Amino acid sequence: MIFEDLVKFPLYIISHPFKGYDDFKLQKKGKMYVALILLALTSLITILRFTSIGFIMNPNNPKDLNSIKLISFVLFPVLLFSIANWNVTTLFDGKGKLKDIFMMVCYSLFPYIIVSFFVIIASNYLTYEELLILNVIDYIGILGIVYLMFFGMICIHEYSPTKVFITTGLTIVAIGVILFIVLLIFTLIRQFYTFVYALLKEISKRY
Amino acid sequence: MKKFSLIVGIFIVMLFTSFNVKAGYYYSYWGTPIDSVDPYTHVKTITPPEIDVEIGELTDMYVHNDNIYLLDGKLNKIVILDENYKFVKQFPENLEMDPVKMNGPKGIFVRDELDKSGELRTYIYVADTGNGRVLRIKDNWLYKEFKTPDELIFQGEEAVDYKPEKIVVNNTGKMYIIATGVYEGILELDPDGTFSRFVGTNKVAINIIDRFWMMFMSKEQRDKINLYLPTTFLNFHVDEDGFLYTVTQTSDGSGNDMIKRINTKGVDVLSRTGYFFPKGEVSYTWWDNGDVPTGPSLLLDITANDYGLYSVVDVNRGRIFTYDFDGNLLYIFGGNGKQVGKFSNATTIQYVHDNLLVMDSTNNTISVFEPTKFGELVNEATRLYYEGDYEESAEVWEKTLKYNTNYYLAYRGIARTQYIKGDYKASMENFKLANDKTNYSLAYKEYRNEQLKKYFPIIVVLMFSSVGYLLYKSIKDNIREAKETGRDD
Repeated sequence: MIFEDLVKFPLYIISHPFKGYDDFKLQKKGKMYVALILLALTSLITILRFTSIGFIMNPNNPKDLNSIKLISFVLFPVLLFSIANWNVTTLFDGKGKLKDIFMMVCYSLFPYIIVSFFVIIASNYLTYEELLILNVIDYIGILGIVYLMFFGMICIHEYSPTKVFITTGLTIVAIGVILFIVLLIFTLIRQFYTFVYALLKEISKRY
Repeated sequence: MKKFSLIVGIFIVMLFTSFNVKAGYYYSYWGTPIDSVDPYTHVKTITPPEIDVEIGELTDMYVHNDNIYLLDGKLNKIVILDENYKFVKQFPENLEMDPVKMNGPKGIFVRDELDKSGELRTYIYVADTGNGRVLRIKDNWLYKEFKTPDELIFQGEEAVDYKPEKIVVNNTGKMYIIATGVYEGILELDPDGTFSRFVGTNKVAINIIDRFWMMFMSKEQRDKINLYLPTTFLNFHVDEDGFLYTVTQTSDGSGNDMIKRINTKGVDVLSRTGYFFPKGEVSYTWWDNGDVPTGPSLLLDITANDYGLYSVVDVNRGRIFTYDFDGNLLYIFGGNGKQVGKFSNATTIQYVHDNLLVMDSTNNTISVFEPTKFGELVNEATRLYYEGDYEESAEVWEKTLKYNTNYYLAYRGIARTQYIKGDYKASMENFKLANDKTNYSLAYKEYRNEQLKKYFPIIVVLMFSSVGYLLYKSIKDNIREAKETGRDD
């Protein structure tokens, strides 16, 4: 049953994206726990990519390993995209709920996970000249995400392809706006903190 | 109680020894500073009172046949010391009876030449900056002068004043001169003093933002803004084969071609295969808190020895960086300060065999640095590798690791020899420690081939047997199915 949900259905979506995402939404074949597992696997993959990718391909200083940072590199984009896309599509009569969008994004990570596992293992057994092929395969993983998300959005929002392009563009704008506001809040907090710190320092120097 | 006092005693000893250890630093593969052993130690400082000569301001120094030639730019004289740093003679011997009358000379070079009667004599070349001429002084103090070269930039209305600053002469007798305000490059003069050409012109560096605004400027505006001039050479050194090692001030902050090795054709042929470009400090701060110097290194002088090792001095931080012929950073030492062996304005360095002389032109001192055991080993290993004696060099690198286990060049040196010998597995391990990915890949390729050759029969047998088994199984299944369904085809 878990195998069915976790492996077979995502594979089915890859081979039959329209049918797959229809089943995903209408027959409730997309499961939240699967989405979360896929998200967790992607986080794990980014950490493995940092630590265990073949020596020749690995540009990272092992001292710089920060797993929380790496996990947030996966988590934040996924959440940001889901929220931004939901914000935009509700205005453009998208039929998808926030939960659907989030699950769809997580399911779309599936090809990336498979490709990355392959890349991590293969990179340990290859030389410099052969790495070119591996890089191409690596790009296929990222293209897989785009490919699945494209069909996912068509099915979930019941959109036409052109509308998907438009809403995706607007989603990127929305992400920019969200980031801007977050940054603004952070700088304000920082300024407030430095102000209080300076004040306290002044007081402590005086008395 | 006894035990306790022993422990305390050991602790105290450790505390003091840790203060006494003079630790140098080095850059790791990732450009972060890591601890290293000091490669050179300060052994002696030569001061004017010690050699009993009055010195105004030292501007340059050159070592020839173990004699040290010092140039005093204020009192306009040349002072010669022998290999034990004792005073030999000076020129002019009496300042009142000066036949040459130099005026603020800045560069000196010494070389043995055949004179007209076919005798080998020592000639001193001086860039007499204030008088705008180059002097060629024979060891009997007769001299010849070369005035302004016959070149366009020194003529006409917008003529540049000819102010030679540094001079070297290569083994064919051609003079190379760095002159103030000459942006065309290094002047090359024939042995008889006629101008031949400019060598090694630096590129003009305009950053993208400036170039963008230039697009919108009118011609009048463009004329008004500052000229973009190429950086000028600060100093140079000529090696036995006639290559010019030059240092330039960084123009764009990257400074990747701060150090150049210019061949006789005028092309930069410096090998930059190290993990960092040879440019002094690798990581530095731009944030000025008043305590530490900011920005990249300002290299003022360069010197090379006979096996391709070259050292540069960074006047910003008073440090000396040594590179091998491949452009690998070997070690760093020195520093600015008031203590013995530190500098306030280190401007000139020279090799005397393996020792390094550093001239401080503010204190008018010359510090003598001698390699430590570690520095000696590194130099030797580099020399042996340069001469092609790979096995011997690996042995020396092995010894180096006893002094500094962090030293990745040693691992690389060992690994290269192991690779040549065919010990691929061990060389892979050492290349990994040295973070040398290209060579690791080469070693791994050989190792993988070896393994494949070893296990190829087994792989083939396994493959054939599994395919055979699958075939057998599917045929059997088909037959059984056919029997069960009753069909026979």
